[in-house]
Amino acid sequence: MKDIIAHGDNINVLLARYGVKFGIYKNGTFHEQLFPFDPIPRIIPANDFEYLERGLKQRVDALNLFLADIYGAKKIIQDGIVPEDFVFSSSGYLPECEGITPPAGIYSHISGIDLVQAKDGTWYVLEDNLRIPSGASYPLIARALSRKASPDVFRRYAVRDNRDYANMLRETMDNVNLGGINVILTPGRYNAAFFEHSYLAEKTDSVLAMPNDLFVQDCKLYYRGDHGKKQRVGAVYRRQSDEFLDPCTFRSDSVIGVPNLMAAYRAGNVAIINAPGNGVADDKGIYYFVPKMIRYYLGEEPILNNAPTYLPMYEEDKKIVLENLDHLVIKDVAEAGGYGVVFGDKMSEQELADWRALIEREPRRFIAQEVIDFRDLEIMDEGKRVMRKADLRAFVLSGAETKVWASGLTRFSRNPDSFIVNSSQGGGFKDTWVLSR
Amino acid sequence: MRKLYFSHCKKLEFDTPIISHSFSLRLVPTTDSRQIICDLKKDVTPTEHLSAVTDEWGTTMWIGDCYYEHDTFSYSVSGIAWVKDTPYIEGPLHPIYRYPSELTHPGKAIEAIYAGAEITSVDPVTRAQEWMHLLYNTMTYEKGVTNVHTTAEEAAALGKGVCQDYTQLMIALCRRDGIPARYVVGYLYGEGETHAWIEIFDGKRWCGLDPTNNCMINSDYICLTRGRDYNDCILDKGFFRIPGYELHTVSQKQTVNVTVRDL
Repeated sequence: MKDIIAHGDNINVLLARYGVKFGIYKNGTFHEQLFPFDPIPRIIPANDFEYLERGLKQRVDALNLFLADIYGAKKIIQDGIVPEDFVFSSSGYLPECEGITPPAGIYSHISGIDLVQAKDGTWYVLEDNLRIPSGASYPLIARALSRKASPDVFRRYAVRDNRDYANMLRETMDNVNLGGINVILTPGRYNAAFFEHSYLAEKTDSVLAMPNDLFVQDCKLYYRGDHGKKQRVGAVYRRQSDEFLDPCTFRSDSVIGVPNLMAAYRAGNVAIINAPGNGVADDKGIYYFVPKMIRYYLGEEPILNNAPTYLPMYEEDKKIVLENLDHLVIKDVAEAGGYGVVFGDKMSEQELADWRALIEREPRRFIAQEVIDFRDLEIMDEGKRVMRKADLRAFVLSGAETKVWASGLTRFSRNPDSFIVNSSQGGGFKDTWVLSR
Repeated sequence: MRKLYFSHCKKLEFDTPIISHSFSLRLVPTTDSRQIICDLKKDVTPTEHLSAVTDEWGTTMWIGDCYYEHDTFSYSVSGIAWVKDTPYIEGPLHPIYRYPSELTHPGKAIEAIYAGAEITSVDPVTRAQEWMHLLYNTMTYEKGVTNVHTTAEEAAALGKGVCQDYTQLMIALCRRDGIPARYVVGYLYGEGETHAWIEIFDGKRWCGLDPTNNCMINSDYICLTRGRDYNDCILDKGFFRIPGYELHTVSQKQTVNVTVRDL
């Protein structure tokens, strides 16, 4: 292990050289920054992973059934499990997707489920990301470099190989491909995760396309190859969000979309990965109902826990939130990437009063959660070992069967006082080792 | 049933040639319990590919493209509509029509109208009629003061507008009042352009009202497309480039001609 830590700086140098960067917009201008890698891996024992694997498959299967239900029969609403207004006033619900059954009935092909482990060892799901979860490429490339730097370590520790992500992803795309090539559609060079798009395209043998490389003709999607040769596209793993996907259907000012892509999708000629409209299932408000969905669709008890959550739209929950605001965390349901998250214990009396008033005024906009006492992880900080907050993004791929990748992205906060680990907020990452015994 | 002939033509003229033009058109009236559409003829010029797809609400869309240089684009649709003299249309209610949409979110002005109104009926259709009369008496019809992006709230604050504004404002009030409502675009006998009105759900079926003219719809109305608000009912959308790499804004001139007459 000493060996791998000794190579930490070298690996960061190599990551920089390979262009493993993360782009962020600050005050309207684009900055690229390195995504700092910490050499001490998070180690998940085989038993723990077996448990997580069962829980994650169950959760993602239920979420896929929920999406099929919402854009189809809507039984869960008729049966009173999820309130109607929660679904239809969610900004993630897209009526344009009504009545479309995606290929193989799969909506969330690549799900990024964010978990934390509490001090007592219990795992909690903090968030489901069913739209375009990013981050799988970082542990992949970090592992490849670490393996080169210290091959012995991986023999000694019985670490499960994580290089199969590319194959899993490819199988996921092939499973829904409707005839033609697989394409990874990037919004372009200035997207936060451009490195990842190009890396995954290379590893999965897909074509990396910019929006202008694709066009729709006779309700079919094509890739404009060299010398005007067009190739049919059977599956498109797109990395721009729904509202920018097709200017004929969604935001008409989008310059990173493909006009009439939705018509090709609706006609059943192309698979879109992940399906548009998934935002209705990973809304921070819908999160509250995921355990209920698991019972409703699968008839099983949820294996993984949600963090204790309150919905101020319910009177009894609102009372708890208003009384306990000073030790809860409040999240704006419409925000992502660590934005719109505030902690009650950091607020002054005046701020607490303002927040109480805001929650009274817009109860549907927020959820409140108990702050979980994270199990901190060790990181190297200028040559010293220090403890920091960290979470785990597990990747669940739904192809012919649902599989959990035996690795994941462990993100940590570099700031000792912060709970927020998002890379857009300046966090770093670690490799995640799943042990085979 | 009344037999009507309708035709709808639109011509776009660009001040500079364009290429890589993709478009989607919602121009096909659908047969429902109130109207039967037949003898449909269409023409789209220029186009290299044209195909039909049915959208989420059952409206037929034509999508197509034209890659070579062109500086005009035009379409025309004509056909025969057999229309019943009734405001009622059979069909299910989708829950989305209960909730505010992008252009119909109530703000201070709408809340003020809502709070100040004395609506006494219980039946959804008569309640909707009361809202319609109230709007007709408070709003002034005026062209040029609003545009296609104007929200119901902005129109309420202004107290003026055209059929789009009347309709969206009435939708906002009905939904606020618990009556599901949707936006309709179609043709009105005697109008030279397309018209907008509202349909509300009375618990069993839909009922059309025209707040701009303060009346229930009748056989003068041919429905083309429906949605949550104007944004869902845009009849034609197009995206194109100009040759070369220069940044340059293209301006366009539009000519629309709608005819509806008895046969």
